[in-house]
Amino acid sequence: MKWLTRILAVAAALTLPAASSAQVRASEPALVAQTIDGTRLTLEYSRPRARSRDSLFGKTVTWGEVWTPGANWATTLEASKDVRVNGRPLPSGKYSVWLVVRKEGPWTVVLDPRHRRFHTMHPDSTAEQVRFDVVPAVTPFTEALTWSFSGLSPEGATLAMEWGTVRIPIEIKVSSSFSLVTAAEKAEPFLGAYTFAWSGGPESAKPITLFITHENGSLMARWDPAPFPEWDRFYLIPLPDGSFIPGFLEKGKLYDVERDMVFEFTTSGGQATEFKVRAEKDQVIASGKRKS
Amino acid sequence: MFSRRDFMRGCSLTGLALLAGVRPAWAGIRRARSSGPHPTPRPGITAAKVLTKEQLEDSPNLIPLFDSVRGIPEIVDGIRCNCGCADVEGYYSLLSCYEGDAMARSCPICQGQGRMVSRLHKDGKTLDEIRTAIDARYG
Repeated sequence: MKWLTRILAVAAALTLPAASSAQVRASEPALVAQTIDGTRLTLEYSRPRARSRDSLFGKTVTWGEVWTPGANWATTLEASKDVRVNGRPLPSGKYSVWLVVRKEGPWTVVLDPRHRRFHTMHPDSTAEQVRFDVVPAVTPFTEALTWSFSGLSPEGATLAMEWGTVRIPIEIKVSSSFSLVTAAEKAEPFLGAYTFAWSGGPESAKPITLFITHENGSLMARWDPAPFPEWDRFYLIPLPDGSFIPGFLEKGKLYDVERDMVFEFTTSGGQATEFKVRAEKDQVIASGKRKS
Repeated sequence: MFSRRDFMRGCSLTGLALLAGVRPAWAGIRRARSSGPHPTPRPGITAAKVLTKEQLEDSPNLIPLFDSVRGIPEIVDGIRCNCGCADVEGYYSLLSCYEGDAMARSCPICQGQGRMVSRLHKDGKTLDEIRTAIDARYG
């Protein structure tokens, strides 16, 4: 019977279509995601194509229609943390995305927590929805409906839908994970000059001094000499466990932190006396002692 | 272009190799981190499945780390690993990273969290305090 089993298996393999190759669709599924300061934003949708249809809006999508900007199952937006969309608070979670399309005046974006809906299941109005108006802009022609993130900054991005010659921008702002502020009384124990030595560095290496000051409400570190000129100073960002990580500003705003350089201070008599710097594997990569 | 990030990766992965102009091929790689709630330690959990030194013959430098984890399974089992492996089927806690295929053999985040948990536990920190520190560093 073995030969019969083998023949049947081969026959089945030849006659059954491959699952992935048989899924050609007029509106192919797509996913676009962006992480900003630890907040992950994910948009899942299907991409209808214009396919030479004229007047996409007003004809294919009729005026006054509550339309999901996609196809098939409703487009969804998922935020891993609370964000603000066009200035309105949006709790973390997954939402179906809808647009009320109008011939004149602003269109309305509707984010509905009932996210698993077919495109024909238009949501009724509920208090849980987040609604806001957007002004459609004119853009160069886009054949397949496209969602994208642009205008990326440490604080947020623009999520935009483009189809035909219409562009719908949505401003998303995320919450900052870190605070630059260290109160003067909390900063006081750390102020001063410290030796700084990389672990495993040659004894002949030029001594490094780390100066910690309190400037404009933040702890600032400056080392001399710096590892390289572009990195002569950095902010010390406080972490919840009492340690600090370097932070870097651009135009007065935090744009990057060094998570693999954690400063752990040891205090005695209300004053920091020494520190260790730990990296990803928790290994000590540098250390220092108070000089003054 | 040589950047601050390259410099830090060099420091954390190879000591001061970068200062000597040596840049390993894997410098600059940053692993995705994921965060979430910490698991509740399973009652009666043991370290019976944590790899032994016989199973770590090819990585002798990791034996002390695995030994330290073996000593406190009830603590390590209450910590979530933030390297992304928490989403893998069969995973329960950071302890899982030290069992079976043992992702901690190669993953710097599994290793770092394991070392940190052991160190803080030795310092007398409670599980909640250890979780706070882990979240601050790896969350």
